[in-house]
Amino acid sequence: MRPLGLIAKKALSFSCDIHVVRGVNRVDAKSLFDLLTLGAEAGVQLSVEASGTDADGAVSQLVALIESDFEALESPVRAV
Amino acid sequence: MQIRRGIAVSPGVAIGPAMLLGTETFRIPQRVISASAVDMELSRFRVALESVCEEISHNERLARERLGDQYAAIFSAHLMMARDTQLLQQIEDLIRKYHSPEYSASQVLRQYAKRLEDLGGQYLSERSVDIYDLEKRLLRLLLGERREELAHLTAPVLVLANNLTPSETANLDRKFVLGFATEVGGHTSHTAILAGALEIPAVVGVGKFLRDVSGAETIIIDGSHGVVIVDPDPETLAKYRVLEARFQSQERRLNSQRELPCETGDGVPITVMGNIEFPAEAEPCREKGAAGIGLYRTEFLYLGSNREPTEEDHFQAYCQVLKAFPDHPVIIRTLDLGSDKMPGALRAAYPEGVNPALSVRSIRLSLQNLQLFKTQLRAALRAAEFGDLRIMFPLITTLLEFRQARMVLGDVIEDLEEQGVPFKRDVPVGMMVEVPSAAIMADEFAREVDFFSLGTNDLIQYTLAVDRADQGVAYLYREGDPSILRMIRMVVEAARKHGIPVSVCGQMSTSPMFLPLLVGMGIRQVSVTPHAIPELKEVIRKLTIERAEKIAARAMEFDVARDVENYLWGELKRLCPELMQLD
Repeated sequence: MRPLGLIAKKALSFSCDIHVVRGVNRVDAKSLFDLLTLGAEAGVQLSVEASGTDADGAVSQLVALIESDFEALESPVRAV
Repeated sequence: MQIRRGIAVSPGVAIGPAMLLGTETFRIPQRVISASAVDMELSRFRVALESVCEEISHNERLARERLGDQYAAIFSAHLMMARDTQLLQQIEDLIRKYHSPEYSASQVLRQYAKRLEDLGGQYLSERSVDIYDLEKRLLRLLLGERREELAHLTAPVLVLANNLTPSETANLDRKFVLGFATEVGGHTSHTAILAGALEIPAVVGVGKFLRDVSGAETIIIDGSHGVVIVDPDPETLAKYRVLEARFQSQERRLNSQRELPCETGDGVPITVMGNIEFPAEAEPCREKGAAGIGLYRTEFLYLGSNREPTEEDHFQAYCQVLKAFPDHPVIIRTLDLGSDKMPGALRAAYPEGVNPALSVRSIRLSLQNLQLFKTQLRAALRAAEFGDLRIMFPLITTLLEFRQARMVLGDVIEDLEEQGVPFKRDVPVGMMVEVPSAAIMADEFAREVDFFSLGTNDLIQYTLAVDRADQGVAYLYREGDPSILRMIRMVVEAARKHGIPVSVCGQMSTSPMFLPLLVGMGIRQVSVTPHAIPELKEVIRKLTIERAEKIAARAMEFDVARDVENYLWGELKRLCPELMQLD
């Protein structure tokens, strides 16, 4: 699955609200549509915000996923 | 409200509900639902969405079994989209605001797709295709049996499409299709020509606009000015209702004057002929008051089917046109196509040129393919027995080329004679003046040809080095450019000197604004889009030669196109104020 799909899938496994931020754009991490509208390509700076019961775990796991360059992917894919 | 501009190809104003036509045709029904229906519509939407998810899961399984995990992943992403909570919420919010689920889903998905397209980049635009795909799946389920087809219309609509094929256009039901607008296409596209023949307002070449239309909005198509308005505000709607009524009353007035003589106020006759493409257009063209066919484009014979037309195909088509005009000239232009548009076998023989406009097309194609050319000429000479048929060669660039074409005609005459086939020998042979070299050499050409016809569309394209279909340079394409006026003057002078007729058959002569100028320059014959004939005749009746000559002399003094056109516009307004009511 593509990187954004992985992010959304991971985000969906938490119950807290999670947002991914790029510059002035802040979108729902659980929505593939919203993530797509960030227009994020490989190399751009993203931050992750979360609030709720499992917020800490959500942030650390999502950051780890993004920083891993999406190792779960079988072949190198553009990081969008 | 959204206002879009395109190319006006068939005049008039049409107002009505949109009908979106895609490769898969969905028409989104009424956009408003009653408050009591909200719950029912919400559950209808959820059921449809659930089915879409099942469909996608099914595809995902199939892909995994047959193609492997990587391909299945495509569908996993689709499934995530379909299950997207943001998406679901936005669509349901719209339904709760009393919008139909079809409209709501289409609207929300298109907004996302548009945002992705606007972000640019190939990857994101490809994702937008996925979104459209999702929209289609949803609509197919939501609409179910109610999916409407163009062929089964029961109420008036305005058709919006990326493109309409000529056959689709020809089959439009005039009772229910009030007008149409397409994203692609130009003045001379087949669709445009057919719209004129159908006499329904049409605008083509609007550019990408369908993604903003869900298919349930009210649309205004102003085919006189090339304007398409989506979802007009009440003020705009009221304004166009008035225009619509005025246009209809003007049509009635002009049509009632059909029998009046076509001469200037001071009694000089001007011949107004029609441009047609299909034999079936001949009869309506005569009814509009055409004094013959000044340009019969024969390309449809080649494009209609996948085989080369036979001599008999040509012959039958020509005879049908001649039958509609027993006492008037019918000028047949020989094949005017590029090798890129030729049917199967021929296309293979001629690889597409680097630049089709400057490559093997038109008379060049005919001269490189004598069998094809001779077939057409044989049919024309045979049909000439039944009326005043004349032959015209397009895109003549050099004298040698014209002589060659004439020689082929001579060969065909000999063949027919030898075979004892009845035909007419002394058919007038003319040429299109549409390449600058031909205009510059007009004086020499005039010694050898029987008539000139100024094809302004190509003449402008080649003189100003601009392809009008290219949005980046279309602004340069101006009929009023002083260089074009000078070209025309050279050709008219040469024709006068050698005593041969010269007519104008390009789009320029269809615009009433240029008519006084052309008459003032000495043009006494034009060939135009049939629907424009009544209007042009009215301009002619109001004009005197003296006034036309003054207008032409003044227009020639300007050095930029804008000034020429502003001046001509002003003069037309003074000449025919009642025609201008529509602007």
